[in-house]
Amino acid sequence: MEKYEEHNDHVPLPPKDAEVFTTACEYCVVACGYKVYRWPVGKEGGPTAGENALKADYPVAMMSGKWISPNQHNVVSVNGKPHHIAVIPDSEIQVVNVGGDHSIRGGTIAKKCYNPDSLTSDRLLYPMVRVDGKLQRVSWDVALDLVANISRYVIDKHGEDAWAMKMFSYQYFENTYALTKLALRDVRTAAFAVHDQPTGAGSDTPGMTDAGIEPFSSSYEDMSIADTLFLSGTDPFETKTIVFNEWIMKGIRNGMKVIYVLPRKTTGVAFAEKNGGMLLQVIPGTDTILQLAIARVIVENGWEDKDFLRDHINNRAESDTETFQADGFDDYKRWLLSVPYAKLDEAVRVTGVPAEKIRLAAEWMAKPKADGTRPKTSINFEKGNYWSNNYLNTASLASLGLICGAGNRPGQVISRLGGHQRGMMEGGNYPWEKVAEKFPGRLKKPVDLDRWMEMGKARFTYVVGTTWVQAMTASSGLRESLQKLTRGNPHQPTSLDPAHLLAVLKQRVDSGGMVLVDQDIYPVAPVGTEFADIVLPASGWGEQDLTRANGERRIRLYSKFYDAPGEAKADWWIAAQIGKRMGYSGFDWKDSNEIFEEAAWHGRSGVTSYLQLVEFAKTHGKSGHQMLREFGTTGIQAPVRWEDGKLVGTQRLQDSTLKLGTPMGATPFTGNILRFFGTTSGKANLLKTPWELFADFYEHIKPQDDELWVTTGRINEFWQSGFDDKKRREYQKQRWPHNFIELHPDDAKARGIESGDMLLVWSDRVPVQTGGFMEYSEEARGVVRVEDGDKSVQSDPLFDTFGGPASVGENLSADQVDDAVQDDTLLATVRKAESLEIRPLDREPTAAEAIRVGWDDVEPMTFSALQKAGHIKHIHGDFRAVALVTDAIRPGVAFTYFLDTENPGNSLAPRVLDPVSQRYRFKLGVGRLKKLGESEYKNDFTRMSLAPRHIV
Amino acid sequence: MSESASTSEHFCLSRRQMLLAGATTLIMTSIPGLVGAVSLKGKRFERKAIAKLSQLKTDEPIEFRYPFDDMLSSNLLVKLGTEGGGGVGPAKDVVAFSHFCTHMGGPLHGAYKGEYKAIGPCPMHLTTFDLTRHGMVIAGHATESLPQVMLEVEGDDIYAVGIMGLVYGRHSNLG
Repeated sequence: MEKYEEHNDHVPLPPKDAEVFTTACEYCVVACGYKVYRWPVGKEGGPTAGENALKADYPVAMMSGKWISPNQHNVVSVNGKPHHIAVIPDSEIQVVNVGGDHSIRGGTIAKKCYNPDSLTSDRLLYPMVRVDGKLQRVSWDVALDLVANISRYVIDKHGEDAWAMKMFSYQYFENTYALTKLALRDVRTAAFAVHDQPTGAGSDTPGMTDAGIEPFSSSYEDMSIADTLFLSGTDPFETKTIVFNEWIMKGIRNGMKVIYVLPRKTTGVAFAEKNGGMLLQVIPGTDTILQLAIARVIVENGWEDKDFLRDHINNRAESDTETFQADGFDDYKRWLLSVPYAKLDEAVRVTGVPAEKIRLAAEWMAKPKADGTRPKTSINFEKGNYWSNNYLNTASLASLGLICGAGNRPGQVISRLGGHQRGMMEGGNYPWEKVAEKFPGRLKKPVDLDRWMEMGKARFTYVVGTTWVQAMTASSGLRESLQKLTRGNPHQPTSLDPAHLLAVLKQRVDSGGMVLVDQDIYPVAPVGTEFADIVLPASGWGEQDLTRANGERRIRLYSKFYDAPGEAKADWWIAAQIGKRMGYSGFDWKDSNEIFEEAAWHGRSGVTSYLQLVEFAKTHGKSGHQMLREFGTTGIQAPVRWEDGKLVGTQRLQDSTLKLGTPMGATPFTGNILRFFGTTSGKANLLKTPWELFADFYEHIKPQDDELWVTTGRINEFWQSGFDDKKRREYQKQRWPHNFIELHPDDAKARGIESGDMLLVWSDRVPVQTGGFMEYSEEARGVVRVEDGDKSVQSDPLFDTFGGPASVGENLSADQVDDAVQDDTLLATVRKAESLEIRPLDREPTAAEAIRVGWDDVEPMTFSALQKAGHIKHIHGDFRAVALVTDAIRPGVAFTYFLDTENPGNSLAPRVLDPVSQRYRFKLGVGRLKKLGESEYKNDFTRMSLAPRHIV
Repeated sequence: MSESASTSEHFCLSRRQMLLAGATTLIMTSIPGLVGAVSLKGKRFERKAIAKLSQLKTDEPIEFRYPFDDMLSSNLLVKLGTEGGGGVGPAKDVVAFSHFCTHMGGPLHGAYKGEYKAIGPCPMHLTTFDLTRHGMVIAGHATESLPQVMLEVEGDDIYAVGIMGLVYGRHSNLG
C-alpha cells in the first residue's frame, strides 16, 4: 500500500464522484448513522459545493455536519488499491444522531480501519498455532481441521459440556447466529458464556423480566418527553453520548427534570443539576434501599398512580408465576411499609443520600400537580444499577417505576439504556434441560463458565472477540487458572505436523488441561497472546456486510467498503467451516445475506424480529440486505411489521397507546410485546425485594479500615477494552496513556496523594466463589439440582425476554439424596428439594419471608451460608492507576476504568454470583491505595489531562 | 519536573526550526522515549502581532483574529497564571487557541474557566478542553484537540506565528 503521511491541518475532500456507503458506528448501543465517502488515492475534491461529494462550500458553517476532522480520514485498500475514505456522521439523518452529531468514539472510527502505516498494523492476518510456545503461521485448512478434530475428540470423550464457548454477544446478527448455531444447536453445550458475564442465558435484568418489563422497550424520543427522568447507574453523556446530546439535553432544555443516581458526578450530571435536576450521590451497592425509600415516601403520601395500578398490575388471581411477586398493590404496600430498611432514616444512613433529596425525588416522580394531573415519569438505567445487586436492584426499580405509572406509555417508560449494540441472533437454544442449579421457584441458573473452567470441567474453549480475563471479576485469579490449564499443562506441541498437534492436544485434554482457541481481529493479551493454542484472524466492521440493532431496536446494514486484511475471515465463515468439518449440516452459506435471511426465521418472535422485512423484500425481488440498505442510516425499528402494504417500524414496545394496522405477509408480527407487559395476563407484576438476600454480602464487602470502594465504569474516550481506541488511536493514546482513578480530595489528602501520582490499588480480600455444579456433594450452596433430562423446557430462553423457563416440582434420585445426606450442611437443601414448588406462605409474610418461598429455602444460598460451607475464598488483586483528585466523586469511593487491559479495575471486583441470576457484582470492588510516586504524566503537557470531568 | 521542561523546550526548539524552514513546512515534535505515541504538529503562517504581555491579566482572555480576519479566525489569548504547553512569556503561561469547538463548531467565546485553566463547556454539547495541555479534550466529544495558535514573544510584543491542528469548518488552514 502507498505510504500516506498525516497532515493534521488539512483533510482531502471527497471528489463529487466519490462512492458513498451507509453504515452505523461500531461502538456503543446508540449506533449513530454514518456515511463513508471513498475515492482512489490521487484524486481530491475542491472546496466549492460543485467540486465535492458533500455538496458543501468550505469552510462550512457551525453545526453543518459537513466538517471532516483529520481523525475522520484514512487510507484503505479496496481490491488491493489504495483509496481515501472519509467516515463522517450523516448530516442528513433525522433519527438517533440528528444532523450529524457524534461521539469521540464514532467520530474517529475512520482510524479503526486497517492501514499498515498506522497503529492498526498489528491486526491478525493469518491463522496461527502455538508450537514450542510461539504462535506460528499455518494455513486455514490446518487450523480449521485441528479445531474441528480436537473438538470432536473432546465432545466424544468428555461430553459436550467439556466443549465451551466464550463469545461476544453483539458483533452482528450474522456472526452470532453462525457461532451459536454451532455451540447451542449442534454441540449443545451448557458451558456457554458471553463477553460481559459468566453465563450466556437468562435475563441480565431479571427483576425487570419478572415484572414483565422488556428491558429495551423505549425509544430515544421517550428520553426527551418525560417530566421527570430517573436515570440510574450511568451518565449517558459519558457512555451513550448521543442519547444525552440529542435527546436528554433536549428534554432538559424543555423543562424535564433529571434525577441521576450515581456515586460520581460527570458532565451530564452537572448539566442536569444546573438545569433543575439533581444527583442522588449514592453509596455503591445501596440502590435497592434508595429505591424502596422513594417508593415508601410515594405510597405514604398516596401519590401512586392508582388508575395505572388498577388497570395494569397483576394480583395472584390474574397471574401467579414469579417467586418475588406481590399479590397486587395492596400486598406490595403492606410489605413495603413493614420492612425497616425502607424507612427514610434507615435509607439515609445506608445510602448516604440526604432525606430531603429522597423526599424531593418522590415528589418529582409521583406527586400529582395542582391541577390533579400526574407528572410523566420515565425510568432509564444501566450497569451501575444492575451490576451491583442484580436481582434486587432491578426488581425494586421496576416496582418503583410501576407505582409511578411508568412502563407502557410515551414518555412513561422503564427501560435499559444499553451498553453494546443488540447483535445477538441465536442459531440455537441454550440447553436449559441440562443445567444443574436453580433458585427456589422457577429460576434456573445457566452454567457459570468461569467457575466451570476453574474446576477443570472445560477441556476446550473457543473464545471469540472478547478479552475474557480482564472483562470478568477477580481477574488475577482467572488469569492464573487459565495459565495453569493451558501453558501450565505438560502437553505442549513441538512440531507443526498436524498429526503431532492433534495427538499432543488430545493428551492435554485427557490430562485435565484445556485447549484454547482465540478468534479476534487483534492479538488479545493474555488469552490470545499467552494462552491460546490456535489463533484465528477475524474480519470486522467495514469488511463485511453485516446487520444489528441499536438501543431502540433500530436495525441498519453496516456496509462493507474495504478489504479485510491478510487472510482474515468473517466470524460466520470461520464458524461455518468448523461446523462443516465437525460433521454438522446447515453451514453452507454463500454470503452474509443468506445468514441474515435464515436467522430472520429463528428470531421471528424476538424483540429484534425482522422476518417481515425479509418476506417483504422477497415479494419485491430483493434480498434482505438489499432491502435494509435502502433504509440507509435511518434503518427500521424492530419488531418490523408489514402492515397495510408497507413496512412499519415499532417505535416502542409494551405501548398501550399503539394502534396496529392490518397485518400482511405469511408470518405477521402480532406479539403481545407490542402492547402488553410480558406476563401471562399482559399486566405487570409488583415485586418484593428482601434486602436480607444481599445484606450479609454487603456487610462483608463494604470498605473496612482504610479501604475505599473501588467502583468502575466507562468513559467516552474508550470502547470496552480499548482495542481500537485506547491502544490504536494516536489521539486517545495520548489522552489516556494509563488507567486512572478518581479520588475525593479528603481521601487523597489523608493518604498524601495528589493528581498525577501513580498508585497501586490493591486488596487481599477479593472474594471468589468456588465449587458447585454437577457433583452433588459440592452443592452446599443452597442450589437445587434439576434432575438430568428435564425436558419440560421447550421455549427459547435466550430469546424469551419475559423470563426463564418455568420448572417446578424437582425430584432427586435416591442416590443423590444418599450422597447428600452424608453432609449435614446439605440436609436443609434435601428437605427443601422434596417439596420444592412455588407455595404461598400460609401466614402474613415477615420481612425475611417476603418472597414466595420460605426463608429456609433461600438461606442456604446466602453469602453467609456459602462462606460457612467453605465456598468462598479470598485472593489478591491489584492494578496501577494515575490519581485524579476531584470532588466529583463522593468521599470513600474511588472510580476507575473497568477494562484497561494492562490495569483492569475488575481485578478487585468480587467474583460472587447473584444467587438468583448468576450475574456478578462488578461495581462493588474494594481496595487500598499505595502511592508509588509521581507518574510521568504529572507535569507532562502532552499527555493525560488531570482536569475534572464535570466542568459546566 | 524535568520532563515538563524538556517537553516545553523541545516544542520551542522545533518551532524555531520551523521558523527557519519556511512557511509551508510541516513540523513535528516527538517526545523522547515514546515510540510514536505523541506528536505535535503545526504549520507556520505569516507572523502577526496580536497583543502585549503587559496588557494581559491572569485568567482574563482577550480575542484576536488569526491567521485571517474571517469569523473562523477568532481565537482567545490568555495568561493562565501557571505554565502551559506551548506557553510563552517569562512564566511560559501565555497561550492561545481557536474559539471553535472541534466537535461541531460550537462557539467557545466567554467559556474560559480560570479555576480549571480550561475552556468550555461548549454551549452545544458540553465538550471541555485543557489549555495547559495543548487544548486536549478533558471530557466530551471533539475528535481533535482545540487548535493551538503558536506564539512568540519579542520584548513586550506577542506574535501569532502558526497553528497546530485543523480549525473547525476548514478543510485546510490555508483557506
